Amino acid sequence: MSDVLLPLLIAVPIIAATLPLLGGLVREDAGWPIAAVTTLSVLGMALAVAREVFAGDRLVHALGGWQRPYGIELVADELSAAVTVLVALVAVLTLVFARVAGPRGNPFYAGYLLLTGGLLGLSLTGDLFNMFVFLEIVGLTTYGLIAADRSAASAYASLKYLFLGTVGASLYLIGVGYVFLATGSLNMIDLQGAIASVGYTDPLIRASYAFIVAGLALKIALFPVHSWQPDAYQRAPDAVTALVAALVSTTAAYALIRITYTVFTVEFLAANEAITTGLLLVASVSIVAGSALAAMQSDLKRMLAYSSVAQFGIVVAAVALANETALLGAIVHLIGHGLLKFGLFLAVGLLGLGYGARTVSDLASLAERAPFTAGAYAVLGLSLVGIPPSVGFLGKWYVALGAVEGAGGAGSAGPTGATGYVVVGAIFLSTLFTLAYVARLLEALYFAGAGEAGEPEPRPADRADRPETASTAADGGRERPLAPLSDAPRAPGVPDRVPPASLLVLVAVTLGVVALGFAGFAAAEAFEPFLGRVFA
Amino acid sequence: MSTQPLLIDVLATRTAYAAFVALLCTGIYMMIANEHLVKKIIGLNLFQTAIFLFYIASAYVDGGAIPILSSGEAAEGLYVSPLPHVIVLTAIVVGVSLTAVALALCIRIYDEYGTLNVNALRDVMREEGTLPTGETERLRGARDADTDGQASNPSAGTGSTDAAGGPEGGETA
Repeated sequence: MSDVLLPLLIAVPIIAATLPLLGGLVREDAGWPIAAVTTLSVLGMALAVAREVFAGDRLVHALGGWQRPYGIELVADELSAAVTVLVALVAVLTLVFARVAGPRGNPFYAGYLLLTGGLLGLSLTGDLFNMFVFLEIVGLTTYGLIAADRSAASAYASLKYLFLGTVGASLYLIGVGYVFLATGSLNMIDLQGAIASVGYTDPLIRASYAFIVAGLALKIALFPVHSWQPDAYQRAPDAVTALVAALVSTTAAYALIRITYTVFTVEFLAANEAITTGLLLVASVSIVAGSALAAMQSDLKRMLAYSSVAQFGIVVAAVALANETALLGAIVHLIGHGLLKFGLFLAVGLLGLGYGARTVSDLASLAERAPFTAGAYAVLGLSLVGIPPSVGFLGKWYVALGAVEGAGGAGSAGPTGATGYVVVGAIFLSTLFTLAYVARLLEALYFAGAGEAGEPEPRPADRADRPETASTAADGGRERPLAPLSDAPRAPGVPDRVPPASLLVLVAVTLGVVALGFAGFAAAEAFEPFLGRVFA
Repeated sequence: MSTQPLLIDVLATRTAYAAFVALLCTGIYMMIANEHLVKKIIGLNLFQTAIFLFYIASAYVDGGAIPILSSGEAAEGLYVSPLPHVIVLTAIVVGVSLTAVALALCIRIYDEYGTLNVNALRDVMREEGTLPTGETERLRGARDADTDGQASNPSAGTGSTDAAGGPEGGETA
């Protein structure tokens, strides 16, 4: 019965996207309330769907009553329900920040709701061509939102993304065309059997998978084709970066998992060793190169953008490893990384809003002025490195474990052999690089420029949340932390000059990231039915 | 729908597929090699058109009729496959909206920088500090023997976002 929620989840934000423009005729500030009401109701529906799905009910809705294989299906299983909840949650939380940080104006909120609808559609659709349409809805609105602050630099970054993103989506479309030629079907579940009957080593099927993976790799931003991402993330308005970094690549990676395991299945990967090995190598290079590039950046948002390249490398490597542990790791890392990056970009955005901090050197001793924001930033950074207990650790752990299992060949389905060790090595190296750049952030936040007049007062990061007296070290030091901007908002009860509601969101996300670190077994149990179906 | 006729089609209408590959490669080459942003967009369009051609060619059945039946009429004889046509219609709509967004972005870039040539654009953006100083720029800086020593500092580029926001950033404050 509640499968009606699935089309509603997509239709409500897309239809509501017209309202900010209509409402704008009446009131200048109609956009935010409309977006808030819509995303909140979407979150409610997403939670209701997730509740039903995790209780053991897969939801399937045939649009317009056209049954498989002719119609388009919307499907919610454990994986898509988890992604749906992440999308809805981040959409609500970003709005809190967008209210103070902008971009303002009703067209922005129209685009925002369209993007939300597109992301939800991408995570719920059960049809390959429908997935292309949602991929392009997401793409188009993202290009628009990245350029939403009307600067030419962001327009250039957005245009760059548009070229690469469109080529990616078009390659995906070619892949879909090939598989359609080979089987005559577009429905994911139907294709599962159809591909098996055509044969996993059929050239058309192989080419189709290659095109689809290449297209999605562009959207995910794996290493050789990641070049749109740093510019786009850096130039976009802060609120847009938080939303896009948390969700857009994440849903593209979700699409890769969905297509690999639901459409092409594990047997396909097992039958095509060259494809899995190639994918593993690309992913491993992506993991190392992304982290190394991130460690070389001085702009805060660029650093995080390159770190995304590495983290999605881990997810894709896990997909190619093709065993149960690694896939669980991929899912956990996908969701966890989305939440983590949202928190990190939110923290960067808050520090930018309150203090004008944009680069690592701007952060010098900022922990004195903004202890809570800096503390949350530090904890999220450490979680990105993979320090337990945090969701960042959990994902990496499962993926690495899966890689070792695959390499050991202990009866798992993994066809990977020794390449598994390459992945483990890449993850290890990347962790070191991640530690390097997060340590730079921590050093800047807590030590740089302070205590140079003989008052060294090293404060460990885990005590960061405790408010410090503002003038301990900075008085004697040569460098003083950045002063708050003149129009910086005040939060009651804390010294941070950041918007209070956004700070609350940031702290909540940080606590959530740490708390999810304890949910390893719960995650394994929750996704067990999905993994069971995939590796049946 | 059986797979057999479609596979035979692949063999029978090979010229269309050759055209598909040729257009695809031309389009992507235009996108990579051309310095002008609008010509890059034209390349992108060509690239997408190639894919439309591919879908339409795959739907063609020799001697097939248009698949339109009035209600109650029984389906007789051969029909071309309607699904790829629907797909291409959708994809054309997507392509048009992409072109519109791309051209809108081009207008904004032209308003700000007065050029749509990628190389000229990069130079302008480096000058205002929006782009990191690259290898070529450093070489040029050394050749010009500029008075400003900062220009040859490779890591100075990304830092100066505030300067980059300059003319535009002022409006939001």
